[in-house]
Amino acid sequence: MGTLSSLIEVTQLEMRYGLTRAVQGTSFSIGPGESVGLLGLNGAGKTSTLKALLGLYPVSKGSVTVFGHGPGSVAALKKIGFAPEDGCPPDYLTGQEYLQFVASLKFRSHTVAPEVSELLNYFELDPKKSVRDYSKGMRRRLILAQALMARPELVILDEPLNGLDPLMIIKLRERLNQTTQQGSALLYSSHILSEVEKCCNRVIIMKEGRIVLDQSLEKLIQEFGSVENAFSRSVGTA
Amino acid sequence: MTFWILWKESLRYIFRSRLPLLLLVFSFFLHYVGVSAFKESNWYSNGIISVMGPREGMFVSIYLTLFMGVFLAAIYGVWMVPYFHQGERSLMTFVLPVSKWWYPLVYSLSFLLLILLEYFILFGTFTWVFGKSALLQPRFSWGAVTACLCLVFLVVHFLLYFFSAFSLLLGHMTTLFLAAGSFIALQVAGALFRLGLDHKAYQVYRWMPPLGELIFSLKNTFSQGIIPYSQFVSWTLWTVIGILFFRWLIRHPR
Repeated sequence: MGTLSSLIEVTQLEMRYGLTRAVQGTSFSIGPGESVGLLGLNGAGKTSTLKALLGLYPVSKGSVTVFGHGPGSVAALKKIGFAPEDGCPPDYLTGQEYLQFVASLKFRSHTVAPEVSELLNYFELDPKKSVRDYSKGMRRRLILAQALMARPELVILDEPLNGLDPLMIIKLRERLNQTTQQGSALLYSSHILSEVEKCCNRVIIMKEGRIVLDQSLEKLIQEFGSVENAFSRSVGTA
Repeated sequence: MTFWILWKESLRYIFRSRLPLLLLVFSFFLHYVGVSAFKESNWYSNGIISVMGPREGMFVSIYLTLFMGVFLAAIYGVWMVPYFHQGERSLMTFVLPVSKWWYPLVYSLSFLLLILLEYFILFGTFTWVFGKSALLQPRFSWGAVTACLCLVFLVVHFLLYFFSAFSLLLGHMTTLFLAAGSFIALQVAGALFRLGLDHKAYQVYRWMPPLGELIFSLKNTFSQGIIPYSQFVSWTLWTVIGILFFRWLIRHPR
């Protein structure tokens, strides 16, 4: 199979929830190895865009391809590590069992036991404890661990820092930088501008369902001085 | 491979919920008390005293199994199947790289195991109450019993998907009330139309799942050995409709 020039290709995407248009004519693409920060105020359409990419919600108009497949296809999902903002793993499993279950479905060809242990250690999770007994922060860490397992080609994170303590935020950043340096692409949706600045090399800012800025971090810093300035000017607040 | 991983997970969930253990205890209690009480009772009709033997006992056991099957379909369908496809958990299930068609297959086979456990309890308690000889030298037709049990499985299998789909669509509580209401309405309608009541509603009734005919079909199958082929076809069609509806509902997280 040939190498894809873009992992994600979104063209004139429109997403509707009843009469509300959450995303309006959005187009962008993400290539291999890119790490893209997706920013915007609440209701800007960030999560809806991610939902469209993963096939979690039907696309109203436009087209979305991920790894050359339609959103939500099995072939595409195999290459994606996704951590939703409001996800919850099955609570009758232990942390270790959950990671093993996800790993066995995603990466059947090789043994993942050492990687599961390494991730549990890295995210400081008790492998024998049931998810039911995990705190909110621990559940969050478990969701992040499954998203980063076996270095997926594309990592999609939706507000990954919710519920994480400062030390864990630093550890996650280190892990993400390591993952992207190894060639994975990253799509990072967040409200924490400083973290996006530290983890991403490209920034997309959305406002009222539209992309109002799509620039490399380098250019953005040259033009605005910081992600914060770019964000304030783009969304028209401050 | 995908199927085995999913099925293993489904079975692990069932075992950790303690459903098989609860089923064993509750169903054994129900069958044992029901069949024993029936065995001890005599029926007076037109001055004739009828003693209840193994043949009648097996018939009662099949009815108890139907009741337990519906109960099991409600528990598994209303609560356990939607567990993976509803709310915050549905996102995690949806992004697993598996075809969504595997889910109905996994749930059907897991449910089949639970029903087989229920059948095991049926024959176990029957043997306990009436003795081994009642099974080895039966006074009933094995063909008829098998047909009854197959029909029961088809019916509860359809109900499993009816419960699961409506639980995803309307929530647990509404589904239970809807199911109870539909069950009563179809039973009453079945009895009334059997008495010859001529009504336009019959046209609607005949296009519904033949729940109102079920009791009569089981009785005829067991006592006269008449295999209700039309019922088998009808319930198979309804089960396929139920599976397709459920599959359609899980195309996106709910």
